[in-house]
Amino acid sequence: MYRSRARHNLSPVVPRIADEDLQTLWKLFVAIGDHWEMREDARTYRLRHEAFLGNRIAMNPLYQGYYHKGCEALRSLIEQHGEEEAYRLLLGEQSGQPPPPLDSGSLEILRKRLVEEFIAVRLALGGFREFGGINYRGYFGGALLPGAPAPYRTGEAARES
Amino acid sequence: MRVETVIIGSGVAAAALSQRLLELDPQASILMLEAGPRVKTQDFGLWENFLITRDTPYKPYLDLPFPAQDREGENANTGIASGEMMDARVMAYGGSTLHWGGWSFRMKPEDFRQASTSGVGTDWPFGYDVLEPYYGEAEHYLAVSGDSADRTVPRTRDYPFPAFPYTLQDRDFANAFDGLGITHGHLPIARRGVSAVPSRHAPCQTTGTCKYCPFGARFVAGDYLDDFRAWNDLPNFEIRLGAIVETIIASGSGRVDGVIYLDRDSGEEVTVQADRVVIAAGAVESAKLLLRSPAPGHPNGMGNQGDMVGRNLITHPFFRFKGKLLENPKKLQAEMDFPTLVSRHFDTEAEQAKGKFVLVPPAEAVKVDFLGQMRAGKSRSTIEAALTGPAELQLHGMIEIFGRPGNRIENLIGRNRIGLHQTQVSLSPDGDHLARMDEIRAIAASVYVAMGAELLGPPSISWRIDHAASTCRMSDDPAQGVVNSDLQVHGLDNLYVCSNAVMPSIGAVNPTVTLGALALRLGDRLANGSDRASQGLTEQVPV
Repeated sequence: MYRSRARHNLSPVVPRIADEDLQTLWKLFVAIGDHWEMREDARTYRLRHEAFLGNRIAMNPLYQGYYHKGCEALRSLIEQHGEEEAYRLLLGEQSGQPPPPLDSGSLEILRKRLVEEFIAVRLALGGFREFGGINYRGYFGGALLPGAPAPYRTGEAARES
Repeated sequence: MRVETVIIGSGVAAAALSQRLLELDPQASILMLEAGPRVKTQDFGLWENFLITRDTPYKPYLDLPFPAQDREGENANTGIASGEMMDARVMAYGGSTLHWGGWSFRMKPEDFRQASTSGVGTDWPFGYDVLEPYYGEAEHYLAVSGDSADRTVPRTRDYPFPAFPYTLQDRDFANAFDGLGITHGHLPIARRGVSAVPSRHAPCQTTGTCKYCPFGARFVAGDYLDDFRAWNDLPNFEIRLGAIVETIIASGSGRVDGVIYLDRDSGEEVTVQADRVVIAAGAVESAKLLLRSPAPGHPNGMGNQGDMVGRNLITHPFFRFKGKLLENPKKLQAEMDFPTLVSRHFDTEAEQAKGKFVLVPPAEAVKVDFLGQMRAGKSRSTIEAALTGPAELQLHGMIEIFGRPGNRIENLIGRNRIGLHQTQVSLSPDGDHLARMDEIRAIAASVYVAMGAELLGPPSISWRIDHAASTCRMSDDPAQGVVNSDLQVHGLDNLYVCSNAVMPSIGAVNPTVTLGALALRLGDRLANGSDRASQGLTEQVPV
């Protein structure tokens, strides 16, 4: 049956994420920008980030569990190592062994379902600008407007054939 | 049930044809039958999922790969070339426009007289000038952004939107082309722009996720059909999904009476009677349906008296040349998801006998993967060093091949996961194909050298049949073709084919705009009664 908005049959109409988890997820998102020295103010992305979380749950109801489990794992990692070291262990090159107190299962959820997805979103929202481009595949660069600069880096005027 | 027109398929041809017929007569009775399901388009959640996973929502409606030792697969390949069907088409509402790149070229005048000019291939039954006005209409219908000052191909009407400027990445290719005397221009692309003409459709927001555009700025036939129905009162226009047409019903005496389709949901066979049937089901399914539909005087399938149905399969082998850029100080990277530059320098009459080709630096000509490096935990300094250091370079292109009777499409026993009959593809290259690719390789090498880069090895060549064509080719001679210049099947007054299948040749460029032009022309001719059947000029095909 045609629906106005795509949603998995088992996903709740209103996704529920506990406030504590919401805060943990947001801090992870900010930490990603900090780890790669992204200068733009992450606060401008907070609503988009929450909408993203809701959309992931709408696509796949398992994400409610992924987010909760992932947050529990992250909080335990922070409790053991302190915030700075925990993010360094999580976001840096992986050794192949889960850092204590994590097991491989909780680390996988944390890395695959939270970290890697949040990296993709952070880049697309504007983090890409750190690497020289003014547009990026996933960023809403805007339309090509008559008389306005193109929303991407262009060459000088081409000598067209 | 009886209707005036049954249209089989829901891709660009079906959409353009139905819209033209209904614009001329909103009361027209049209039933559109699509075998596949609906895929939700312009959904933000699905778009985010695509951003994260690169999985498109229409992935379940692609062909599976050919069977192999450890996988069941679908379809079969009996030729030397791969003839791969996986990713070549989408079997869902909107057809292959769900996934197409939007490259919107016109064929050149010499492409319509391929045999007369070069001695190879076959001629169209009419020239470029006959189709030219419809090319203009198709470019407007598909919302193409292009350079109206570019007269590489003659035109009497401007593009609806201006061309996208070359990317910074493409500028280096353009400079190399200039240094080598290789002509080039803007690649015309079906991405809606902004103009003084108001439109309800959204313009391209350069989001760079074109395979699933969140705004619908890239033409998708299903979107346009939905909008057309929503914005107009069309009481006799119906679209049915999950309707797999099994056979065309012959009524005898050189006419058809309708179709029988399998309703995928109920499993029942449904008969629809029609005054006219138009097969707009792509080059593969159009041919297969005719082969499954015998009639008096057509024992081997409708239109197949000359054993032409399914034969002369052509497509565009797609090649990729990898190179190595020694350094990347300008931090070149993909900022768009479609190319802005094309060279049609080798798409000329002089190149026709050997097979014309075009060169296109892809959107990701310089391969940089920030996402992968960050996910791998690389530091900021490592990523920056990789960005400005040596980088992989790519140059793509497509080459023309010629119709041969042994290259063909046939029905295969068994159904695919959509419910369509499976397909047997036989596709083999001509003997001189490798020699031609060697010539192209030398050109690619010179381009890379001019860019301060080096070519890395031979090209990868895909024989995937995205641009499958000519399987029901046009000819006014029933012994040489399946349909006449009105796209009417030889020997059957009220049966038409409107898909890439009818094109005797496709030159070196994507066939979609040409198909749109053919569909709009057919719509005019059917609505105005200027096609031969309406004029009573029926064909007498020898039994």
